[in-house]
Amino acid sequence: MEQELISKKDLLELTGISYGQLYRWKRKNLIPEEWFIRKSTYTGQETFFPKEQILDRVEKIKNLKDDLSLDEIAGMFSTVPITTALERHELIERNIVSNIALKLYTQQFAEQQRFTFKEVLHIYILDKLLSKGDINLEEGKTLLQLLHDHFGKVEQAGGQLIFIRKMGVTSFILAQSGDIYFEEGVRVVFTMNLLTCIEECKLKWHGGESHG
Amino acid sequence: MDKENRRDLTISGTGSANGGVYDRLSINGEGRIHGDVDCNSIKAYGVTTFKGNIKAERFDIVGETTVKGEVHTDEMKVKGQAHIHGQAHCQELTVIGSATVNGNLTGEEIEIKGGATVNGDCSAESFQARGGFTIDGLLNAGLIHVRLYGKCQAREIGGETIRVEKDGLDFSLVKWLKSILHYTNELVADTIEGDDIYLEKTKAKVVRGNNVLIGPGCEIELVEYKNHFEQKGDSIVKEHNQV
Repeated sequence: MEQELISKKDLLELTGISYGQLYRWKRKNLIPEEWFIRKSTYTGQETFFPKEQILDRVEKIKNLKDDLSLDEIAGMFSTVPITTALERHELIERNIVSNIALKLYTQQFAEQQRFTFKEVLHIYILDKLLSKGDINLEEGKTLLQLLHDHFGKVEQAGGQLIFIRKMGVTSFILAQSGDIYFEEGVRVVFTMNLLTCIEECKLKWHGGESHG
Repeated sequence: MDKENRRDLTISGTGSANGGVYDRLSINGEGRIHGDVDCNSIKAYGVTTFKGNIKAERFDIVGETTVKGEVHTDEMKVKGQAHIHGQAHCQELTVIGSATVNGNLTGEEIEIKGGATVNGDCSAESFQARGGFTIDGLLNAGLIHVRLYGKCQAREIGGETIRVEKDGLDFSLVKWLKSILHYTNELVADTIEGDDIYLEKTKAKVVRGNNVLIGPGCEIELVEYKNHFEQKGDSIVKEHNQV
């Protein structure tokens, strides 16, 4: 699928940021190197960006930059995993995940007091779907198992989580980005972008630290 | 390893060593280090080859040093010749002699008083040059200040404040010497983009910025500016547009 591109000039005009800001964000790794696409035009080489991704990213940076340092924001967007862990009570007190989701996770796997970012991310995804009412507890267990077994394989590639229903039977699908087609009669209940989820979860993880 | 309990390694004359963790590593003469090193400080006075990667707080090069791997230092001074085949990250880098980096060069403060060549991109918070440089990729820095004492070129230049000034050597004798020595001092780039830009003796296809001031000796094909544009002296600007 051909993605829509935006020129650097149009990007700056549309978002109101300056060249200096853009180069600064690039230096701080807030915008990934791969997004700078060089193409030949009549004025020579010009830089283009994947439109949807860059607009989304610039918007996020603009919203975050008053509260967080650029290095902290870079950490949030980075795909390098966070290596620290959080205590169980911190997760609840800081409202990162709900008690119900946490309990479901520890019942399924093991009772534990410290949680790594990866574990919290799985609980966060579960919690998000439970609280929206998209899935029930029983389906939550299936989801946790799926994330546990296969999440690592799709998270780097910008994967997605799809939940389908047919004749009352439900099923989860973890897929790398790309088109997926379903047979007739399948209802797609939701599609979830996992990179967005990781960013949201990181924001919660870091957010409490800088404010409290 | 604990920083206090490290040992020193000294090579005087001709010698080689495996890599390892040291407090001070000094080489006087001809030295070869085969593996990766992690040191508090490295002094390379002779002809030295590092076959692995280097991690050091301080790295001083006075002689001729080749590093086949990557370099990670807090403070690096090149007074002789350095050739780094991999990436280099230096919080503070001063080049008085000459340095070549085949990969990307990143840092906080980079100061070039001699000559530097970077085959990849170069990025820093502050980039100050009083010598010549060639950057094949992008030069990206918060503050870029170039005084032209040689040929300076980069494919792209981007940053917040960009200032390029010609050297102060304008006496007639010096001018005559320059002409017989084919001495060129100018900056050449495809694109220059920044918030505040001041240029002298610069050749560029496109210059884009909020405030663009073109001083003497420039040849620019296109200037795109947001707030302010001014052109001085004998410069040639083929086209300028407010956007």
